[in-house]
Amino acid sequence: MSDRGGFEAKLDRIDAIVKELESGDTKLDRAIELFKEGKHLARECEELLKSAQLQIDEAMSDAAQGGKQRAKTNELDDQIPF
Amino acid sequence: MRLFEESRPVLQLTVSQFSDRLRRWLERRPELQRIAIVGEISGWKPQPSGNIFFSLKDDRAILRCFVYSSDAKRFPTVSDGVAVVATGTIGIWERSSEYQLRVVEIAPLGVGAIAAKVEALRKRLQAEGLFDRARKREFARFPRRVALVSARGKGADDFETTLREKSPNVAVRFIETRVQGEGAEIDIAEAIDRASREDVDAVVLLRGGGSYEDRYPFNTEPVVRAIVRSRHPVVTAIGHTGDTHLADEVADAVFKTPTAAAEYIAGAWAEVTSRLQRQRERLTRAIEGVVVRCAQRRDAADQMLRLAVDRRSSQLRQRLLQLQNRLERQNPRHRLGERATRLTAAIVRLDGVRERVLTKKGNSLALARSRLTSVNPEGPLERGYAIVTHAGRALRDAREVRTGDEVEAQLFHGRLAASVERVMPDE
Repeated sequence: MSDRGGFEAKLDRIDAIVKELESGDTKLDRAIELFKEGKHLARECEELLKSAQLQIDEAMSDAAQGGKQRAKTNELDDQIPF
Repeated sequence: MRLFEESRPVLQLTVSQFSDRLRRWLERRPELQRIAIVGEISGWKPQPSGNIFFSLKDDRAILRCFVYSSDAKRFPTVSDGVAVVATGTIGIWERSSEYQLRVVEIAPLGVGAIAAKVEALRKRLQAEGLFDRARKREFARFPRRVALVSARGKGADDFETTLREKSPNVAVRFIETRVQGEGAEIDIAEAIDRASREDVDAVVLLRGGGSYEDRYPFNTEPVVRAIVRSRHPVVTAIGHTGDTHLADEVADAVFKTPTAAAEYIAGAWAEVTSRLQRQRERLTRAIEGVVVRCAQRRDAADQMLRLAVDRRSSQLRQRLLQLQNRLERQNPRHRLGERATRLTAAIVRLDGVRERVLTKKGNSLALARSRLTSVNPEGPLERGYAIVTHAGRALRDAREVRTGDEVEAQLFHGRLAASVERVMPDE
């Protein structure tokens, strides 16, 4: 999850953009520029979220697989010879 | 000897009188005061009081017997079917019209002499201290190997079966021997000596049930001595009865049956085996418990991990969504629309202005044109008016000329030369 640093930073930038636009006194061409930047950042954030979700899902299923394998070896140990 | 003289008249007595007489007569007979009767015991009935009722019988007759508890205590063990010599007094029991032997001594038939011999031997051995408790050896709690001195038969089988069942790991070295008959005591002693040479933890001396005579070898000195010199502890189970033999008294442990002996030997093993089994089960359950608890913790941790990560993701997603909404509200498109509206409004106003301006101008033009038209000299001419001139000057007033003057009349087309005939000024 190292992108998280980038992700939060992007969100913060979008926040700043929105605030500036909301203030009302931006010239039209600057507003257009800011708006474009904001939309672009938002798309990037969505991609990052999707990728993060995938990584988490993979990690969860990997862990489950590993757990199953370990459980199997424990069964073999059950026959303690006396 | 005749009891009653036939020539006498018939005696008449009451029952009690008769009984009394009979008793008195009997009691005067010395041989009946102490008589030994040989017979087989039947109906042996010990009472709670300790007194015993029984009968002695042979093939033709039966004799009721009675023993007081004080005498019964001293008796050897006898039971139904045993042939005995019972010594006692004959008495009359009026109440049941019976004669009975009140027994003070009893001995199995033929055994009397043997028993005496054995008793004498017993006293001698006891004096040597051979029966002392202090002599008794402990034997191993967990024997690995025992020697079984016995004849082949049910007793030996029972012993081996029980031992195998309860402690299968204990080995048995079977040393066969005669256990009854002439000279059997030598064989038994030799067998016990052989057992000493074996590497065993105990010697088990077994003999099944049988009569007193059958069991006699175990009351002999050779067998006792062999047990004494045995290198290993000796355990006996002889006869299945409660009778104690000299071999039993000198042995290190005594049991009533071969099965009991086997259970004793197996005892510790069986106990330990079951304890081990229980511990094994406890261990298994404990381990399983630990595994289960670990699995539960892992599952819980998994869940919490998932929850935490999902929560963070959704937080970020929320924030992103909100920002996207606010961003969208700031879409310049909206502002463009505003501008377009204003533009449109301006254009409309512009149009309006133009219209008015054009209209106004148009009006002015029309006005000017009409004015222009009105000042166009040719205009009136077209309408039939003439411009009359005198000396080149257009005349407006009639008084500007006198009669006879020469004037020119400009018409729309052509001119006229005319002279004034009359002047008519406006009134």
